[in-house]
Amino acid sequence: MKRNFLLFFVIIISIISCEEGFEPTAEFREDYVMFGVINGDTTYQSVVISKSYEPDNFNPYANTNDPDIRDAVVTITGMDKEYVLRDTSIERADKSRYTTDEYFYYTDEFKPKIGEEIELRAVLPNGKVLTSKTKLPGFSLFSWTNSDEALPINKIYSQVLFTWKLNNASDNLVFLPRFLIHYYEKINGVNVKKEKEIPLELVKLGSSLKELFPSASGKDYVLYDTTIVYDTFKELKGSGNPSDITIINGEVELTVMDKNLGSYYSSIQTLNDGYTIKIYETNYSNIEGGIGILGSYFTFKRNIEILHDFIGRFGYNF
Amino acid sequence: MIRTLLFYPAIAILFILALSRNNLYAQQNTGTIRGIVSDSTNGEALAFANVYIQSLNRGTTSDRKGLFFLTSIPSNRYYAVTVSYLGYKTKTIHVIVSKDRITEVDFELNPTEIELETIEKVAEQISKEKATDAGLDKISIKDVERLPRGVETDIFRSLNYLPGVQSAGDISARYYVRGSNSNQNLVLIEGATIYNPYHALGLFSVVDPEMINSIEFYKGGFTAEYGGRLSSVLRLVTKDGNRNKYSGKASASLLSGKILFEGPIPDGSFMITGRKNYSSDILKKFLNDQSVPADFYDFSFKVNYANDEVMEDGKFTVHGFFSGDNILNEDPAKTDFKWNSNLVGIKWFQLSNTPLFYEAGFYISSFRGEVIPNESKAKPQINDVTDISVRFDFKYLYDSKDEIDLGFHIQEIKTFLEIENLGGLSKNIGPTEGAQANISVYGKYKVLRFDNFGADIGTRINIAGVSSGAGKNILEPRISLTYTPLPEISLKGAWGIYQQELTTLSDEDQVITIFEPWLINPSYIDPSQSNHFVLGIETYFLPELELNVEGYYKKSKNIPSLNYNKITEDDPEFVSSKEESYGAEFYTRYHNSQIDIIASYTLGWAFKEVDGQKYHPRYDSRHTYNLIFAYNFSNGWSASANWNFSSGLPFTQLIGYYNKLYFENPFIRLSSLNDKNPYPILSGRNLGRLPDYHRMDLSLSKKFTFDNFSLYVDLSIINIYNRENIFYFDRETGEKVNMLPFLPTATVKVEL
Repeated sequence: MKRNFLLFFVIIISIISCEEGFEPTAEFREDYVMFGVINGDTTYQSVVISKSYEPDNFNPYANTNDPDIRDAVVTITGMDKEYVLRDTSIERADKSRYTTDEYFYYTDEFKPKIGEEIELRAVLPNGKVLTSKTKLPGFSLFSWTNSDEALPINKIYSQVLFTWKLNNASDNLVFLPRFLIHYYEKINGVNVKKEKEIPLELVKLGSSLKELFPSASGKDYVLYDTTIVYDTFKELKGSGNPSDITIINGEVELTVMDKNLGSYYSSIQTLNDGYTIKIYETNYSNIEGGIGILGSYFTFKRNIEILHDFIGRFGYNF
Repeated sequence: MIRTLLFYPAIAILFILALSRNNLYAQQNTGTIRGIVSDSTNGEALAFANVYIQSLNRGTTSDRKGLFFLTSIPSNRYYAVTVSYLGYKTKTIHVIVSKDRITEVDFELNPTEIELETIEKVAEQISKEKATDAGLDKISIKDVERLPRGVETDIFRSLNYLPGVQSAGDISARYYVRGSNSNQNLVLIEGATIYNPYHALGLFSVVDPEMINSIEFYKGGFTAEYGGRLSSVLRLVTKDGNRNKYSGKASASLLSGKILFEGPIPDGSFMITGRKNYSSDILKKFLNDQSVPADFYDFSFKVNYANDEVMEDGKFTVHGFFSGDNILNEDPAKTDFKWNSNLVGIKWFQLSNTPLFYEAGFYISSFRGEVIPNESKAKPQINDVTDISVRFDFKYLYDSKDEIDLGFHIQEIKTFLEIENLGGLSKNIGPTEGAQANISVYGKYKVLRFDNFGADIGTRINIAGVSSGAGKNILEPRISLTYTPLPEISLKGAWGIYQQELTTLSDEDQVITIFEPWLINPSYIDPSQSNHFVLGIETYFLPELELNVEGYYKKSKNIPSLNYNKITEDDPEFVSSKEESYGAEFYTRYHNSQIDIIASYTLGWAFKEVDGQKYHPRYDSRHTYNLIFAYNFSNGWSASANWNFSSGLPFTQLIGYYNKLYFENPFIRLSSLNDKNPYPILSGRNLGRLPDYHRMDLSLSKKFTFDNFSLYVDLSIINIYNRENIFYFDRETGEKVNMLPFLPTATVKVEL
């Protein structure tokens, strides 16, 4: 029996003494990243290309080497023409991580049509090729239908409604509405133009209120609670004097995203705003040869008249 | 449907043939011995006791009620019927068997320090040889008590010592059987399903071992009377309560205090247990000294009533089980949790003057869980499950020794899972219909007439189901076979089709699953289905030595898995996935009156396939070893040591980061020049492996006997060589979070 005990403990000690390696990271593989968000309302388009970086001590912010890729050949093909993008850079607002300027590629000659198919292609200095295609939102006619036109609303129910309609719309379009108040605030005697987005919801988180804005979805309407609209108006002055505020107008801005941009936008929003218990967001990409997104959008705006009586209630100017 | 229509006549013909063959046997001059084995000190039924007639070389075991039958015994002769049970003095009673009659003989065994002798081992061997029990482990509560207690004796954790059962580590009492997820395990208390049976982050099960009499655990290939889950069945039978006198037990560990009170009532007995934690300090040891403000309780009762004037040979039981958990943080940035499980049931068990008995039961089981995020990023959730069940089980034993089982089970299940988004808007993501009923009947025939062959052949027939896809898979046929070519060797095998219509919602990327909400399978996924194949060999070369090997193969489809490609709210929460697992289990046990040595090894593979991507699930361990050494010093002292090893569990490795575009700067809006934040690039799911897990625990126990009470003291040391077993690796911080360190603990129990 003593021998058995001895043998047992010898086995155990042998196992304890074996220190096995543990690799929390896999071998680093350089990936290439391209972001192109095409705005159908302008000729100015920009593309950013970068590369992945190693997980130094699991703190990505410890890596301060600018990952932007320069000297790539970037082209957009659309409207039966190929546009070669030029490279440039802008100064970063936050230089705490990267001290260099942000490097990107642009063109100010490309304004795609509704429903236009475009292709983005980048040939990197090392010969790698990143490509992607997308199709701008397609429709034959856009209209605001049955939407409220002025504040205050003259209805018995207490919600402000904006609806829209796209005839012959392409599939899987995603809509992102915003309801804005444009106003001036007198600061040190100078009128400064400002805008405030009206939240859809106010959620109590602990002792504070968190503003929640509409999320991107396939819904063709948005409803705002008038109480929240009025409270937002009331809060424009902050701790200042109401007479320092001059209301210009209200505006509804609707962004219509194509399927790719809509999916990407939703993927980074769903985790917070959707009904899911996932703890990591979906990594949506449509870039062949790398990671990232090529997507497009149009924007539609509608003026909302704000009646003088209503503005006067808050002591603001008009 | 055509298959079903053909099936009923086939079963009927089979049944008639069986009856006719049985009648031939019935014409012989035989009788039946029937009895109940119980503890003489408290009347508690002794499940799985060995019953043996040496002169006939016939044996059987008592069932979970302590009931045994020996049919087809040649009549008009005296027989010495011997009953033995681990920890009790063997008893022999002489009976004379009358033709075509049931001779009743009950055994009340006296506890003793001296354990089984060789002859009783032979009885155990004979009863096992013919049992059609591939994949089944019968565990007495005394076996559980022999294991090192650790912080708290736990029945679920004791299952981890069985080959084929994989633990999620020190942090969780969840168990994974033969490569399947824990939500495919059926847990029954007194025949009623209990949902989410875990306390305190899942560290312990809600089942207090003090209330348990016996445990039956099917690791796979379970027979037709069980349904509703794909992987395993854990059937817990509670104690009836002391029939002879009022008595009580009180015990305290570093975590909780508990009491048990039991005693006789006119024509019956009762038992009440309660447990409440009084400190959560010890829980810090489980999670790198992180505070776990867990607060929990559980309470159960059982009342038995048997009066021959009211119902001859009948027994009524009312039982209840209630547990609650709160994890309420003082820090508003942390998520709070609340959940409750409640179960009440009533059962009627009836014997008759023929070898027929049946049991009817009515149960209500409910679960409610809440996730309260406070200021954390968690999503508010409310989960309600209500399960109202009626079941009827009928068993008839033929003179040929064959048996037939028939029964039905009606289960009305309603699930509700509400998730709230940060907009404060709630949505029920489960099925929106009202309560649905699962109606199933089962029938099986056990062929036990042959000396070296046994078979259990049957099926469940799903008449109605709770999910939208119910009705596509009506039959769940099951077969379990035993063949004994030599007295020392039994070959056992099982095959079956299994179906499940409930699932849980959990993210495989989640490190700690505090509770998994239950819901009925979504309408777009058919009921989950699994095929089990089990093949094993049991040997009995020495009476003290068991040596078993069992292989398994399991293939499952329509398993709801979280949709990792969900992008919009309209995308489904689940996608259908497939699972496959196979492996081999080796188990050997040597035990005599003083020494008990158990060694087991499992070699297993588990795979999951979601959206065409095949990977190892997080509970896939290639090699698992368990060694237990227990020694009884016969003077109240006992000691045990156990060591377990599990090869590293899968995890997803980090490859690098890239700067991902977010549209957070309101002035730039939708532009590629908007802000970018680091985003991890991961390897294929679960391609990495954590380091191997191993741990050794020691335990020393002493029973002090005084005039009016007994005192049990147990000292345990967990992780004696302070192995730094990694629980998880935090990808965001690079921190290694370890499991239990070297930890001495103590438990004191007073028994009146």
